[in-house]
Amino acid sequence: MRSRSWLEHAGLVLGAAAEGIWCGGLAAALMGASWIVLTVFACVTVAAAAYVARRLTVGEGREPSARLLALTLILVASAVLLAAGRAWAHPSLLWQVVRDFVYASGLVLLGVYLGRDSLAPEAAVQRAVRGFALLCAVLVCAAWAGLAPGWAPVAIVASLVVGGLLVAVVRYQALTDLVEPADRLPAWPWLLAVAGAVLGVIAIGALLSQVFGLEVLRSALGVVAGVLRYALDGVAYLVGWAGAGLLRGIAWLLNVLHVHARDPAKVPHLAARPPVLKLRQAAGVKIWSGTQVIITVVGALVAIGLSLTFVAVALRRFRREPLAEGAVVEDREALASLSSAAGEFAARLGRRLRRRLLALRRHGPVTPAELVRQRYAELELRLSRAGRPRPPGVTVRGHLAAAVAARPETAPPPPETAPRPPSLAADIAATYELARYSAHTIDAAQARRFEGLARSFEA
Amino acid sequence: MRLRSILLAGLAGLVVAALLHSSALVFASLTASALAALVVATRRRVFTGFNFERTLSRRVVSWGSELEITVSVTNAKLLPLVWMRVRDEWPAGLEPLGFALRPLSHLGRQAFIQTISVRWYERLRRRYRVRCLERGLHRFGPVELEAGDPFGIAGVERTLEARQEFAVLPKVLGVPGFDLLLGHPLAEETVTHSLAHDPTALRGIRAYRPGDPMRAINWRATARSGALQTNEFDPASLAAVRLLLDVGSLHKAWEGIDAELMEILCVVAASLATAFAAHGHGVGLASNACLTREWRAVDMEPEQGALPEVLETLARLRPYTVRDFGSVLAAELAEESSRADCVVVTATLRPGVRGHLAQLRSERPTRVVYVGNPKEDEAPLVDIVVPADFDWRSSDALPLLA
Repeated sequence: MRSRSWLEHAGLVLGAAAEGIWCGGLAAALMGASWIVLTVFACVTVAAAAYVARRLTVGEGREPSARLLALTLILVASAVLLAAGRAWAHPSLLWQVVRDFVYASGLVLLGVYLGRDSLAPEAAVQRAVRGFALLCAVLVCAAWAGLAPGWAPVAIVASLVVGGLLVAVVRYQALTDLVEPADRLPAWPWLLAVAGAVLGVIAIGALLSQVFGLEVLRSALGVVAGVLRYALDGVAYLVGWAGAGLLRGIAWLLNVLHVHARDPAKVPHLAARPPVLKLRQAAGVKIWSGTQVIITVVGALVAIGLSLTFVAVALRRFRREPLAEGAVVEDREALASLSSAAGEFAARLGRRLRRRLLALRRHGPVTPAELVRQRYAELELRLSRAGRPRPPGVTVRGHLAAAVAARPETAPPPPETAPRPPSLAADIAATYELARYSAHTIDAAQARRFEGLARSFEA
Repeated sequence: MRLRSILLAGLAGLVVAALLHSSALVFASLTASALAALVVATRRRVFTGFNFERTLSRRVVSWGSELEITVSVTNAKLLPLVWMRVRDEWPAGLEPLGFALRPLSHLGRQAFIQTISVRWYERLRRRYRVRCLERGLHRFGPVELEAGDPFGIAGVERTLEARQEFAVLPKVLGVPGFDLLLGHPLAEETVTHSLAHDPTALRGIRAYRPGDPMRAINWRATARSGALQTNEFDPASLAAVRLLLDVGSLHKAWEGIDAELMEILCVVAASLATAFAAHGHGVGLASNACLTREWRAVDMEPEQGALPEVLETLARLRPYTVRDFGSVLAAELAEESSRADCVVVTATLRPGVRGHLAQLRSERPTRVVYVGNPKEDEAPLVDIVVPADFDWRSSDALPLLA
């Protein structure tokens, strides 16, 4: 079971790394020291505490020794921090010692929790997400304080990669726990595929952050803020206008009663129109520079291509070779080449986009037949919301007839003048079939009649 | 999580990043949003264009032979299935060859658990071979599938019924002492009455008797003689045998069931049926056992070529009785038109059965094959004994002791 222990070690180390990255970030943001050094220190401390917790909490009677070891670990970590921290020449030694001790205790506590935690995929996802969120919180606090740490992008990338690998390793372990060793997927192609996917995501993130850069965002926010301000000014004008009118009314009433609180001539007049705000556009701000865009796009495309290559290579390595004569035989058959599949995908995407654009361009149905189809789609949606979706393979006629048949028997019988439900359903279905499948042209009168029928059809 | 929520969360992150003037937070927001969107989109699409099939090489398998099971997984979309766990329920009594099955807690089932990975537009086929070592009507399925995004952040589960059945016939052993069953060793009997006729073996013509089938009338001879003449054929089989199988293996019904003894009884019945068929006899079967997922009594008339059906019925027998064996014998006695020889296969002769059996022996040629050691009061009715402790799984011949 060597491979299983390897996986356990990998899960523990990656978990420690996920915790260590944000802890290192926190320490670096607070102290202004090297993020890499502090992260390595945090990872090692958390991992050591996790190993201690895992080894020594199994079985009764080992709890005291585990606590002792954890305490020793805290002291050692504090000593390391103290020794390293002297170089920073902090004015207060006591403050420095307390700070290092608290930090080391926190790291050891995280490690103990990590070691005691089960290696379930859900727990790993939670840990990875928490690590990333806490790193972002550290960055938010740093930005709030006016700091722009240079290590931030590296820390984000590291957190994503480590989190992705942690989840993948733990999921792999959970997936293959019940599978015999010979039948298991090999681990490393999956990790390669995950690394490729993470790389692709990071590349997409980098590309998007170049496209939607800080200046673009600030400009967009400026526009939004201007519009908001304009709207608020308008609202304020309306409120003021209404208030002034009210005051004038009250003044008139007081004037009738010969109560003169203020000379009416001194009451200020309302402005003729609300003040129009000028949008404050950051003049002269260059949002995109040509070279930067080209480099970014090329770099992102290369990274995405590289990630896809990783994934492709990894998936190719999943092929299972027969271990012995007469063992399980596997064969794989390509249903379509990658280029033809990509072509088909692009064509499908194009068709969908064209359809969407066409729908956007049109404000209403152009032909009566389209109106009928649209009204029928609305009717079907209404039926679906009422708990009667059209099952696959059922005709419109059958579906409407079933909807009529499924009406509660307690409902009062329809009046004699109203059309009977089955004929109503058949009428709707017949018109729809004409509009949908027949070459027969639907005229506007038929379409209007269909609208009326569809409205009267109660789900 | 939905894509709309991700979009809103991403926008919130971007607003915070813009307000704080932090490029790193912009990058973090966009990357996290892209990752979450990838996960959600993958989850949503993971079973699109997906198909799972399990095919069996045969529906009826003889005991101890191999069955090939092909599991086919098709991924007809651009998104690869980086990981997928297949958990299929297979019946017990299958010995995997070159792979492993895990026994399940509920009786009679095994779990087939495999992890696979399928690329874009790819069909993966795996052929597994098993050896069938348990008689019965067995069932595969249902199948539980789990797949998800490449990272393994979230899995999506789907259950498919995919139920398939196949029958494993009882083991058929050679019968070296077959002559003991005929009663007259090395003397083959010719019967005048036949259950089936061979239309190619014309024996002659005779005058028409009411009830003769129209197609048997010889029109030429009728025209020549001026009276209806009927063709007469040789029988297709020399004799017919009806196996009467008693699966009530214990004296008292409430004493429970003896599954191993039931298997021996089925093996003995299958071996005898095969031996009789090999000697040209028509074979039938009646039993007090119930069939899998059916509650009708087993009652098959002897027919030429009915051996596969008899064996398949034996495969489907369960160790529970739906009626008393005495009523099986009584029904046989009541059927006056039947002229078939009877072979009773039993592991016990309860007092209620003995009277019917004695009557059957007096009226029809009947042999009693007893599995186990007959008691003193049972011995006079027993012709042949099969030891209950013989290892039928490793043996090739059925020991018949007179």
